[in-house]
Amino acid sequence: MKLDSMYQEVILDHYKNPHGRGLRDGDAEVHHVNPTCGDEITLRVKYDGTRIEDVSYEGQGCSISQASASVLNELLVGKNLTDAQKIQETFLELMQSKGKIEPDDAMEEVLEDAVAFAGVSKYPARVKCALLSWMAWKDATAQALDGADAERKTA
Amino acid sequence: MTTEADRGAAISFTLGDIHPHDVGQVLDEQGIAVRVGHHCARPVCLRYGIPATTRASFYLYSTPAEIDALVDGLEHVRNFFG
Repeated sequence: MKLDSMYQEVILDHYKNPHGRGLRDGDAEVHHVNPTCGDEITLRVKYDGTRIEDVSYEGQGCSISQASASVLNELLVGKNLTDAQKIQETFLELMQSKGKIEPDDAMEEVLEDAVAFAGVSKYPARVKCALLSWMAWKDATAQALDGADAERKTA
Repeated sequence: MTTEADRGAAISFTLGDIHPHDVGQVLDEQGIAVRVGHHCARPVCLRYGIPATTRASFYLYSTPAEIDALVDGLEHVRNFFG
């Protein structure tokens, strides 16, 4: 069944048992909404220097958007910002590939569970669902780290 | 004799906690086309406390068989995400 190519077991697992769900202490908070409607997320990031100490979130939305947030938490918490950015860029590349990228071993190593979303790239309407939490993380990170820079400059 | 009272041709609905994006995806796989999302009416969704709805529209060319297919399709959605 074609549906299996998108709704992989890994994704449904993350949807039913989301990692790290809940809002906790953070350096910055953002609220993002999927413009094709119905998915939203409130996300906070906490940094320890350039190490991601926590990514906490609450939201409502489709299985793809919620599972993606869960995978993001699992993949990024504990990572250094540079490594996290590489993961985010690789995921973005895969999501925008229109089904043309078949993840190789190298990509699987970077993305881990996120590689399960490969099938989503064939469904343009769902790409934004998968990317919602990642865009929110990028935004929150920019605010958290730029804000810290501003503090250092004015101090 | 049927009248127009209490009848409509566009029905927006929710299906338990299953998100409309997912409902639409599974129905699409079965050859059933519905619309999902806010339908340019987010304030209504907020008013009813729901993230979005699925909307089925019927017209003079819709057949009872197609309606049956929709109902069967929704059962399938429930089983898939249940």
